[in-house]
Amino acid sequence: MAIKVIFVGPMGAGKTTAIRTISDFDPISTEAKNSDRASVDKAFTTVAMDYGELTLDSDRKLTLYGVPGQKHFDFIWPIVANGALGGALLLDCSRDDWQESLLYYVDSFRDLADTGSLVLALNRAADEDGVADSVIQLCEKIDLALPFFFTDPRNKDDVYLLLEALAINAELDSELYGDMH
Amino acid sequence: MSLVCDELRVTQMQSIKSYGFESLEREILAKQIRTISTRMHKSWQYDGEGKDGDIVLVKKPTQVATHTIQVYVGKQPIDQSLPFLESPVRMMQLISLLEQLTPSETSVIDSINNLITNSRHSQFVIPCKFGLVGFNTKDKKLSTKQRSLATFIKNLASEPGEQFSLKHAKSVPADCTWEFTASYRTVAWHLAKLQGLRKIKDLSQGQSIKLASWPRVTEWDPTPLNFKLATLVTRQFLPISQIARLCKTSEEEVVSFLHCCRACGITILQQQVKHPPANQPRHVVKDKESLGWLRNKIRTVFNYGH
Repeated sequence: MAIKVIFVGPMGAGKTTAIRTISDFDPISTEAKNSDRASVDKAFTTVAMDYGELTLDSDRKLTLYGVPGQKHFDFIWPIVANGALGGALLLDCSRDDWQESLLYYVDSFRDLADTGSLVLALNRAADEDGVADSVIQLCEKIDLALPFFFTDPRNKDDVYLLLEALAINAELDSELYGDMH
Repeated sequence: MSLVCDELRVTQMQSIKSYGFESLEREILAKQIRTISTRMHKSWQYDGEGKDGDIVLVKKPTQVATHTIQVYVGKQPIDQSLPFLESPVRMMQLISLLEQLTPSETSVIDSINNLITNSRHSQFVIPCKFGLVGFNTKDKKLSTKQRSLATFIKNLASEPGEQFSLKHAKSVPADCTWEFTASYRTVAWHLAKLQGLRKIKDLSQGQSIKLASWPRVTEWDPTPLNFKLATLVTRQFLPISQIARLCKTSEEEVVSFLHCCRACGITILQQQVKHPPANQPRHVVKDKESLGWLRNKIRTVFNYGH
């Protein structure tokens, strides 16, 4: 039994790091030389997907997928998202365009967002209260009350908290709608 | 299905009933009280004829005039020093009377919120009975010489709300050091929690509620129940009874949670009808055992206490 969780967000937001932090093994990555260093200054970036696993017991595991952040790879997003328990949208709040990214990615994964299966992981937020107020305003604008957490993708507890939010949401789904399926 | 959403007014509703009023008089009174409720800090609601309201307006002849309305607070007639109402009821007279019956309750939460958000000074202190409270309006934090949040909250709650106004503000003493600092929303949450299970009378049966934004419960009050309530109440409209059942708690706890959210500035939405559920899941993870394993494995800040 495998439960799929996806990590989405713009390039350089910390998706690969988050998977690496909790995966049982070093994630299998498909990285290539970054051709867009003007946007994000890192040498390599994910071009197909990252993959990691978190073993729950001998029969159960969590499979962790990181989708490529660049928008020209958006055709792959619904394929990776299919059948997922939920997703974590990582955002680098030190970037000027993080709010535009939030709206763009929430719109791209609206199916997940509408069912509470998308959580926001806010990385590198210097002014947490200010960022929180902005998130609340943005979410009210798009009529969603998305769970959001200040996350350091290198911190295991921070990444686990994202999984916890998704697990609770799935349990509530199960209790709310279990009889209907 | 009605999709009209209104911000829930969590102020305490007070019931007004009339006794001996004609049908037309009741209609007029109901309109007047609706209007008054929009103007006053406390919310009033006209509940028709009867003698069991918080305020009861009894129409009967007295020595003053043949059509005087005697006013009861509960089962007690009001203090004779307050004016009687005349029949027909004049709205300004009723407002004046209600204001006198309910002296303004400036809450500590509202006052602190007002100071933090509206003050032009970035740092100042307010002297209280238990010592100085430091305000940092830039970081939106409160500081105290108390050693724990629990003691701080308990002492704050015993202060009159009026104390937390700019007229009492002073400069931070040069030698001032603090023992404890917390975000003002954390303080607001715990003050609201201490106030207990405040009734929300305008949540009628069958109404569903939803939070307009995520409450940062992992910072304000990280408990498994709060996390579960926050997850459920932010995703869709549900009646309080169903929220309580799904989260395996009491309706009073749900109301208390909502009250705390409201104190932290989270808007509560309500909807009249909620059938069928608005957001169907994309899929249902039927294997609840796997979810249990997952949560057992990850053991977050809540240390798997669910």
